[in-house]
Amino acid sequence: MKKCLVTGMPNVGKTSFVINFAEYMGVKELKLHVKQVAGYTAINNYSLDEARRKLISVKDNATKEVQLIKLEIAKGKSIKELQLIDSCGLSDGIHPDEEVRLAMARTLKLIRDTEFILHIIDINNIKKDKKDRDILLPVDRLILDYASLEKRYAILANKMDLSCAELNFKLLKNHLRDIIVIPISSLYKEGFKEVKKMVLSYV
Amino acid sequence: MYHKKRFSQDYIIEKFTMGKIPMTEAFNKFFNYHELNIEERNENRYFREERSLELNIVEKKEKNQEDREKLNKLLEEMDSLIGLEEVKKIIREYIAFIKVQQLRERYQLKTSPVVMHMIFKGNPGTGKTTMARIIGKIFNEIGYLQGGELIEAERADLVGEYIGHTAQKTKKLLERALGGVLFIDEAYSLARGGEKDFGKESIDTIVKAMEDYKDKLIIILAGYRDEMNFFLRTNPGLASRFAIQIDFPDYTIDELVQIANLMYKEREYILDEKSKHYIYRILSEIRYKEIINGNARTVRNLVERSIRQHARRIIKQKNISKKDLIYITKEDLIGEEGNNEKMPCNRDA
Repeated sequence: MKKCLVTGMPNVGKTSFVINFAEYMGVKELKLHVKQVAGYTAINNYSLDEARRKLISVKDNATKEVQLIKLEIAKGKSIKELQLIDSCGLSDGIHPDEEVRLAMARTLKLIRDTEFILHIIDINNIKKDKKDRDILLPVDRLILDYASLEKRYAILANKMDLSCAELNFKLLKNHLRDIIVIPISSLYKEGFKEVKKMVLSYV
Repeated sequence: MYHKKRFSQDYIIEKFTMGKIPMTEAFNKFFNYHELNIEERNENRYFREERSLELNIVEKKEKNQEDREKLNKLLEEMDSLIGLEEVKKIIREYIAFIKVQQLRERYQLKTSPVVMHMIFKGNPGTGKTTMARIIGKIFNEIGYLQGGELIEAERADLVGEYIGHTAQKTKKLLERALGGVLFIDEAYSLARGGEKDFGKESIDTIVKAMEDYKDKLIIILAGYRDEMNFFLRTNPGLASRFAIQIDFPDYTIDELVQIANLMYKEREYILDEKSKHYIYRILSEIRYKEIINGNARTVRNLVERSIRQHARRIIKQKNISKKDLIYITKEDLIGEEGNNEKMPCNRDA
């Protein structure tokens, strides 16, 4: 089974992307495989609304466990399975909470072991004021540098529904010429068509 | 460096979860990927040091900001040079000194003249010219020099063919260098010919110019250590006139490896795991054989040759990925069999 990791900084919308993308792909009920620290995997069943209510949060680092969703994708006549992995967001510096640090360390290992990485960036959170410097935040830049070289990789520019997003997207696109950048809005399920195409080419 | 990869990765994860290292560092080390990413640790160091000075200055804040950013960039450039800690320290001292003098002048306090003529002693490839160039830029930026060009000269540029010609020739060159840095490489050759040589005339002209253009010109004399010491002994006034005498020591092997890594980074290449160890071996072998030539220039030649080898190897492949284009392997360093481009160690490791 192919695996796909969804990663990025905290609060860019990883979990909401995973849930809404699962819905877009035709999942009626969410079977969330949650890896517990002890080593076994628990399966939590949610309806989609319930999942949104319980899992998506405005706080930073709401997701601490590694959550898997199995997607079934029809490709031609056969049906392929894809594991969509939702992980803890990576933030810069030293996080005060040890639990979160552990979760981030798990994400690092996942980045190493997964072949296909979807990197979500908050499009409203890029630096614009300095001309020649990097417009990405340091952690985003690190993920990009590593994953674009070693893995199959795409950037999803999330929160495209907000007002100044268009401008920032142009900036980003100019900045990263040789990398796939897909504009999405995971809240309104926009741009998922392109993501689906990208995922289909992989499975 | 020689840890097993997995082991060191676990170690990094552990350190990170204990909260000892920040995310960016953990990420870099975990993926062994710090070569291409620009380290920003030198940034703002200058700010901190100079803050006590800044307190006095209220006016022209914005212009200062801009100037300081430029200066910061230059200092960063200087810091990115590997080794040479002593030189860097001296330069920082003088920057602070000149700034204080400028401030004192503003409050109409007495100032002491700053004489910046220097002597660089060291083997070839130890960074003398590079340093001189950066010094020119830095002192131009803080307003000590105007123009800031570096003019490189050697004996042939200074010494003339007949009596009276030398003084004119030297003077012309000195005038051209006004407001900048005059870098005289292998300066000891000026004293080589004995009493009747025209080189002496040239030295006398230079010494006079040093007094006349005290604060308009930086003269740097450079050369091998022993020869320079001899040169200074021939003219007793000389040594006392050059307040700053800096030794450029030979690079250690660690520093040479760092230099090599930096050169690859500048060219956007990365050494892979095996070649990283192998380059150590090559450089230490070169160093063992020929101390004088085992410096930065040799490293550059090695780097450039390996890049050519890399291209030769890559072009034969059918599918060339981005990864292939970036990573230098051990074979690239060894060079092709039968390639007699003076390979230091063709034996297998």
